Amino acid sequence: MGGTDRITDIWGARTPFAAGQSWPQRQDEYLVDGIGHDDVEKWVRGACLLCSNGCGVEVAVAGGRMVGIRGRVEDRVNHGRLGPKGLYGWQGEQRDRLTTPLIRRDGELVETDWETAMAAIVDRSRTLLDEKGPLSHGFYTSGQLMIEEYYTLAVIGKAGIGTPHMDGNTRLCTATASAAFQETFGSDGQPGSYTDIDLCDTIFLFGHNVAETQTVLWSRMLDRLDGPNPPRLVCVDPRRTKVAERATVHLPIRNGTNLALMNALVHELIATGAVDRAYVDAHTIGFDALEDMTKDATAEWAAEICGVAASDIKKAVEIFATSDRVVSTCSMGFYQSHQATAASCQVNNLHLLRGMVGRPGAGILQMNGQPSAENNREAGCGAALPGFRNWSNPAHVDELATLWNVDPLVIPHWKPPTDAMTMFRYAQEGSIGFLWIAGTNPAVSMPDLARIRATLAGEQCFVVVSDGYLTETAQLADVVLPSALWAEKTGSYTNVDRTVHLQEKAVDPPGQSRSDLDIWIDYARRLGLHDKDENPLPAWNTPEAAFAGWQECSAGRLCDYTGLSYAQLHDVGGIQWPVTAQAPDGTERLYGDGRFATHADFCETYGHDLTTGTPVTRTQYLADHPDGRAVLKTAPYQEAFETPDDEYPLRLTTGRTVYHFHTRTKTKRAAPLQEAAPSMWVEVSRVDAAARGIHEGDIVRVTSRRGSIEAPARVSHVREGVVFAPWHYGGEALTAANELTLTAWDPVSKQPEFKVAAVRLQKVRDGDGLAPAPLLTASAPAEEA
Amino acid sequence: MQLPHYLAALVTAERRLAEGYEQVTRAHAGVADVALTSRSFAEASRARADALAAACEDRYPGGTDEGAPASFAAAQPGPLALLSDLAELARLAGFVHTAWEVVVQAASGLRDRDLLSEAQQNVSTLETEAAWIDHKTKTEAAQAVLVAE
Repeated sequence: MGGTDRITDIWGARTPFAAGQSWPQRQDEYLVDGIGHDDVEKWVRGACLLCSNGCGVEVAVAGGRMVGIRGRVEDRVNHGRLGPKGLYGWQGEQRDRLTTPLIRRDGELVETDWETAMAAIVDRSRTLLDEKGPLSHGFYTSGQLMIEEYYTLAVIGKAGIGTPHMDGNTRLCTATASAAFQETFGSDGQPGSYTDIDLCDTIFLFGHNVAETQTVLWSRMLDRLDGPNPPRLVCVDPRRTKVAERATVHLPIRNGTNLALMNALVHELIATGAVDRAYVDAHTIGFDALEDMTKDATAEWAAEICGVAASDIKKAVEIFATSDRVVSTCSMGFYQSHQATAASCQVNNLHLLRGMVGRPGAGILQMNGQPSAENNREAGCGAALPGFRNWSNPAHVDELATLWNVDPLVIPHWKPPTDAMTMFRYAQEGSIGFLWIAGTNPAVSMPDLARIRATLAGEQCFVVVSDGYLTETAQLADVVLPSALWAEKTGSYTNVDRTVHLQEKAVDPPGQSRSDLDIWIDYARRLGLHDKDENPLPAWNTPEAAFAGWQECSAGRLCDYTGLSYAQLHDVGGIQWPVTAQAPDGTERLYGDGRFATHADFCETYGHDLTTGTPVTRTQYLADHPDGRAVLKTAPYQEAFETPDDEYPLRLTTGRTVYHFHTRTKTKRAAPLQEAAPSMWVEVSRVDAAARGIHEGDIVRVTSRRGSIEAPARVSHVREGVVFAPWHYGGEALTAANELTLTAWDPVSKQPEFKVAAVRLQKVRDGDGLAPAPLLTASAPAEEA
Repeated sequence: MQLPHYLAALVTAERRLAEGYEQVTRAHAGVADVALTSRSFAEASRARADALAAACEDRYPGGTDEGAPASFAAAQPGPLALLSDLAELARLAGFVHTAWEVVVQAASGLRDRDLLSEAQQNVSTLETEAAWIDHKTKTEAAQAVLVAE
């Protein structure tokens, strides 16, 4: 490998810095063997798409192929750095690509041409629309596409067809971030900025193994930790991650008990008198109810439930209470659980109680899983209206109807929007008879995979898949369309801290592949979608025109893009929205003035009951007079949907490893990454392994009420009573962790429960050495081999 | 005083509501949020019934449940049946909610602070359950009546 090594040196050399200093630059670069700088014909600007950090990059091109990559040192997100996936993952786009459309004939997928494929799609679509109407259609997309594509599909789905059945795989990874923002602040939108890491005196990480999921963000934290006056670090994670190893306090709570811990943290913070009453009185509502609902949630109570020491909970509270500038991050450990929204709202609440929102160094980073997840949310390609408009506010619907020049009744606001899990149930039942899946692989990523496979393979629903590869999902489709991937098309996307990047087209896509934008425009034209004056919908044909359409839609909303241009994004790199005439260079933080997006006429939601998910009505909302104040709310702790019993005595949790992204469609085809983590494993504690006669590398079977998998065991530092399984590994053999997970979700965000399932564990046979699990991460063996 | 009879009818109504939730959990197991929430509500309803039954035995014995609402009609699987079953739950939950409001007044009049506290809490809980039933009905209605077979 040429240049930087990010397989054995995952986070790279330290460049320590002190609070208030700028994070030093460090350019990471990789060129394939045989290519030198002089061979590179051009460097094309963009941003990495293989985690939610969205690092600014330049892609090296020679002979019409990508031959390398380097970080942009001037980019605000990464200052030149790249992680393992960013450095090597793009190579996965150069293998095993689909190059022609496929269509199912006599049970087999066979190659066809675009005309035949699109005609089949449009014929089925038109027939169903005529016979059953728009509720027969569903669109399930991704966090990997571009804002131009999301907004285009949003217009097709919501203004052209008029279906409420639209969602993204963002439902699986980032829906709770959005839900928690909406419940607390009235609207989606990240309050904080990555630069808060540079200024803070304390970092709290809630269910966030940042060392493996956002390696460059962890590098930024490491450089603070290794610099003068390092921040204190508190880590909530059942695993002994690399983050936990650096923590001042590590709370390795039982998976499934997040809300018990969070209610206790809030209770103890209030009880110790650490609340900034002036801020709370001026800028929030709901304090009395919050205090009442957490009044019995003592540290001792939570310690019993969570399986950690009460003294450690109190120590964490003491750290939060005595810090001036806290940054909290929150991620999948909280989001993919049964009380996800309530627990994540409590993270927001901690900051509100201390008056630590929107000021330098004191911020919240509710994380995403993918760098364009935010765009799916803001463009209304999922179960939401574009521009963070309120599904339940007729005035917001009218705004869109005017913008799109359609009858407001076409916009499906007359029923609640449909989340992904419910869409798949409708597809299973056959009431959705046309399901288009773009850029995602639910046959590996969704819970209870046996059910998902049966749904996709059945005759009751016509399934279209557009993707770059013949994924496990594509293999079950009726029509497969070859899509252009990252750097094979131009478009923009937005990372965790609202930083927008433009990815410019570097190379042509392989074979007959087309961009998702082109595919959907073709579909809309063939279907004859139009506005009230018979003008075609959508009104554009190119990425830049789609971007202009999106800018118009975003005007005046929190995610206002009106001040941005492709030229500015090319020149500067990442820029944080909102970008307006008043803030032409972007906006670093939201809510610094303590005024939130909760006005009834502006907010994205009126909120929900956090226990049942029942929406709050506008009348109820108005009665509380939020009027720009943030909303403090939580729910009582409840046990997870499925807890251990005699038959299934252990708690399964699923997660990620640093070398792979999602279902490995790209990373398994990038040799350095695949070699670093080649196949499935499961992690068990020393105690649980010893009780079952299991040694490192032995083949074990993990069984839940949904199914079972077999894999080598890694005897690791995972908490006793817990089994950890990475969820990346689909394929021919049933090795995917989601064979085991259950169909259940948080009632507000509708994010599935991936973090708790009851399982049993048994040894199948002796192994022949170390499990194929990474050695340098949270998956490290508990004892030296 | 009719209160022992009224409370006995409420105990029976709560148990029938719990049975209704349990039937919905079984009949609509594939509708995960309905099944899981109904399971949780069933447990809560049984707990309320047991607590009230204990209070009756202690302080208001001898009541008969003649005024109790009819039992939950047998739940059936399927999208349209789900709407009917939710309507059945709404009927029973509505009765129970109103009955607890009556108990708030009765307990106040008797200055039975324990019963008053219990009734006030349960009125709030039933409002939450009723709102959820209404919300789920609206969530599922269009698909059930316009598209589902």
